[in-house]
Amino acid sequence: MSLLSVQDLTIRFRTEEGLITAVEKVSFDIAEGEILGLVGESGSGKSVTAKSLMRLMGDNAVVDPASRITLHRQGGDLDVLGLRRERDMRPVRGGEISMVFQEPMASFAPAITVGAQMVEQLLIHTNLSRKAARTLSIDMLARVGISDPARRFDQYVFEFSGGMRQRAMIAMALSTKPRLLIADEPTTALDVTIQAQVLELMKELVAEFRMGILFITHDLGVIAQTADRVAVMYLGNLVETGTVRDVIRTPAHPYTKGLLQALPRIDDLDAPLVPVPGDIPGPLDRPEGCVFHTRCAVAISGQCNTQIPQDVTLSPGHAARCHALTKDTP
Amino acid sequence: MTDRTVTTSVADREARRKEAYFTASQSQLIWARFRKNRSAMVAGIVLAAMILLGLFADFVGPYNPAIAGRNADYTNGAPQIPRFCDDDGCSLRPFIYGTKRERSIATNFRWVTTQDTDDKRYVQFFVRGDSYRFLGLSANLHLFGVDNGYIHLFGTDDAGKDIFSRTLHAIRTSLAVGTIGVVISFVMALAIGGVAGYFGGRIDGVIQMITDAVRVVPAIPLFMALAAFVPDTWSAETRFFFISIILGLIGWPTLARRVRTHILVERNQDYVLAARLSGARPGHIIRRHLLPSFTSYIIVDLVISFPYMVLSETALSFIGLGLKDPVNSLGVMLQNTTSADVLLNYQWYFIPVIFFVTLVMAFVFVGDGLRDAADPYASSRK
Amino acid sequence: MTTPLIRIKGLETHYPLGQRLFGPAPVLKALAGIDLDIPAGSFFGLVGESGSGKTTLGRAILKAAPITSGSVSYDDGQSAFDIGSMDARQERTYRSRAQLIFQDPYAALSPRMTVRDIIAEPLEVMGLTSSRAETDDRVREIAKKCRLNLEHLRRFPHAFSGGQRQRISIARALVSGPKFVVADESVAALDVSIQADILNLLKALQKDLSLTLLFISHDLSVVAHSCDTVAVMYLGRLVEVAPSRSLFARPRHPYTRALLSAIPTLDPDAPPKMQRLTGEIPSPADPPPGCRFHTRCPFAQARCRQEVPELAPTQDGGQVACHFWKDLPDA
Repeated sequence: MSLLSVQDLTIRFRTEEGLITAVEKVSFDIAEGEILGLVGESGSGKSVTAKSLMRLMGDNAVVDPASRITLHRQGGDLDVLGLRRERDMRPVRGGEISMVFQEPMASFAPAITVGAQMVEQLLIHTNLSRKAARTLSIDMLARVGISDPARRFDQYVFEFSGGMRQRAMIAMALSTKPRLLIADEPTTALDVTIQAQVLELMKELVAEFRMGILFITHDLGVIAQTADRVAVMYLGNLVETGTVRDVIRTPAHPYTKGLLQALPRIDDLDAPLVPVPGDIPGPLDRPEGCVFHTRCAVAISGQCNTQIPQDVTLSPGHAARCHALTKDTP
Repeated sequence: MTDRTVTTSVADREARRKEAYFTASQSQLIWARFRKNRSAMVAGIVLAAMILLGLFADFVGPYNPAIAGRNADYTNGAPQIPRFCDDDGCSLRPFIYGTKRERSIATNFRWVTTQDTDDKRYVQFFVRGDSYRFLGLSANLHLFGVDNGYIHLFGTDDAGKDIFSRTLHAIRTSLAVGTIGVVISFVMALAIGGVAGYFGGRIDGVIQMITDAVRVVPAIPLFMALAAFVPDTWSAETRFFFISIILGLIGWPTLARRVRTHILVERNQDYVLAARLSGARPGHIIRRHLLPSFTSYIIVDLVISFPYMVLSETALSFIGLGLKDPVNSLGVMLQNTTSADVLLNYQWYFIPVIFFVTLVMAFVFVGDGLRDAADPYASSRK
Repeated sequence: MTTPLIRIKGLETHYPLGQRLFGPAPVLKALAGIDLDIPAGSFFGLVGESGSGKTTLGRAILKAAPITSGSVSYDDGQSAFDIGSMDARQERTYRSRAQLIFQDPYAALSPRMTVRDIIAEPLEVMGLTSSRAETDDRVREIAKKCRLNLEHLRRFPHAFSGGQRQRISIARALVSGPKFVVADESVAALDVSIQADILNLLKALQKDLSLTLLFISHDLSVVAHSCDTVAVMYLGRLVEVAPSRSLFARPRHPYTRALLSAIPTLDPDAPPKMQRLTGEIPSPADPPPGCRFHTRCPFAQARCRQEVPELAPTQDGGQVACHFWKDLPDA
């Protein structure tokens, strides 16, 4: 069953230099129990997309009226972008949708104990009593693998190590039993051995809670091991979507291909590293037509620099936006 | 064909604008950002105007603000606003009415000043009047005056001194006191804070203790003690310098702490380490990297400290511990305003207050605008 | 056997951790006895996680971190220095031979200097050129080698992207003609597509300028790809040193194995790896006794708690610091 649908999401920001487009016509679905990876480099718009699901974009954001974000639930679908009052947005901020950030040190208040923050989260989103909230929080800390959770409950975040902080943040995010967890670069700041542990934990929790996870990262390796489906973003556009197997084994979009060729692979140490030529254009230099055409080896002059490409379906569930795909099969 | 030339020139201008942005130095970027801040620009213009008024106070003000230039016939006189038209018709040149003083039984033998509408005195520009010294030279040109008699735009005080002229001179005095105070505290802060921040360790610890000790000293009792110490034989000018120096000596701790913090942060930047790893000596690092890094912040700190100096001097002079007649400052002028008579009848004594509020606010807005514009990493982070 | 360019013996670096009224002050032993030889002309990788001391080691070689005991020596055939006991004049010469490329391209360049001035600064400080024209020539030469557009030399850093800034950083490090360059996480802050570009550039420059590169990174795949020899550190000690191919084909030390198995591979169907480590990385201020890895090691025995293992040679030219490396089952 589909948990969340995003359709034609377009977000621009008002800045001193003018209106810059951060996200353009992005559409994807997340099903229950599915991990969708959102992959992109700087300027891809992945963080803005994630924040928009929780209505956290900021005052200078201009959302295009054709955009739709729909949270499907039993009691009736929720139009997230249509919410007007702060009060109504509460369920999408920590209730049904919860978020885990990159820098756990920055996400916990330094002067309040970790336990107090977890209890606060529960008191806002559930009807639990303070005592019940405390018990649940300690249980969650144990569930995420933090030893001696009752003692840790009363500690401050600076007393936790990096991996523990991230686990505590996951515990806090999951304590309200959200249906969708947004993880924004959750393991980027962690050591690789700790990262492996946290990724295992997330996969277990998805199976146990039947959540959907939107996993945002720039690391394709993490996606390959953790996600079920992947969406690749470049400069605010979704260029390719599909199952992890399809996209990584048979990438269709030139950017995805370029990314994969630029990655050093442990299993093939002799393969040369082929960088994607050129630089990511700045937000003020957004290319016309297909946003990738300035760096694309197969760009068709006259078409790629004028027309925005549409979705081309390569196989069920695997689509990419590229003019060159309609000419010949990949 | 014309279309293409038009579009290339647009593209050219765009390219040139981008190149200008890429080759803009830090100060150029800060200025460009400052310019976009409308309230700061307006405040800047106002500030510049007031500084000019202060510098050219002798020229703009029609009379000598001291006893020498007083109008004995028009004490506590109301402001005289020049007008262009009256019942007799209009004229191109502005004029004011003369005044007559009379005393009679009808007025209970009190001197009463009335306007004489038949006595029109035309305002003239660039007139010769009281002489003054400007840049060491003697001059007597004034911006405006009347063909006969006096003109008092802001009225006069109880000795007949022109309040307009006094206000302009007061602005100059306050700016001068502020400048001297700020320069002294800045030089001391730079030296003391700089040493503390650069060397760190025990030197920093000792200097911090001294700084805190100086900062904790309460200003008012200190001034009272110093005012008692100042001999009456000192001339007004000497007293003026003395007060300015004292203000500077009290003001350095705050600035020194700021300088120290800036240096502590900058010292640990990667690019400073890169210079050190090339073998750069401390002098090079200080000159090339540390000093330029916080020049913009220090300028902001200076501009923001200015109004505090001005206000401190005003407060001190108001309670009689600072400057005294004949040196003009807002504080001195406000000394006369504390009687009920003035509050009820001679409200024009308070006009200088408007000028000073404007001056202080202008400093604050410009300082805020500079501080907002001065962040070097603002828009270039990914 | 040619003399190694950098020879490190028993290097220890201690940082004091505050003071106590009675007894010795606690120290953080960032490096607890390093023995390492870096051969001239190699692209030498140094990997480790947080607290491993890899950054400290790189800095200690450049004398930007304290050398509490042990020796670090540099010998390029023309000049030889003992880093720990150099005098000021020797230090200045050494600075022209050994340089550092930083991690953060945004903090490494002074925002107030033009690119030309940034690259020229080492030349000016070291007095290596005699005229402005000569300085300009050398700047242009190295900028071209680093694939920087010469017209951009008069721009300020805010005009450039992360990848371009890193190239400016590299140009600055190389302008004085060093023989030894430490690249401290120099590609960690860059996007993937740019990382590849910079890595290729470093490889090309190494060949072109006959450099010895010490490449410090936490990213094993990057190191695997670019380096010829790799040293693995854990909590201030070396655990394994081996030629890159054999390290990745046959990792010997349990930590190396765990590290390798933790790297997420791009193959979604790869079989799940065996060696998942449990527990957190201990704090370097309070390391476990004996072999520092024993608290997380799946093969730890009593001896590991008591005795510090020394680096012992293996048959493929590597070294391992583990009491039981010969007895471990094949990975």
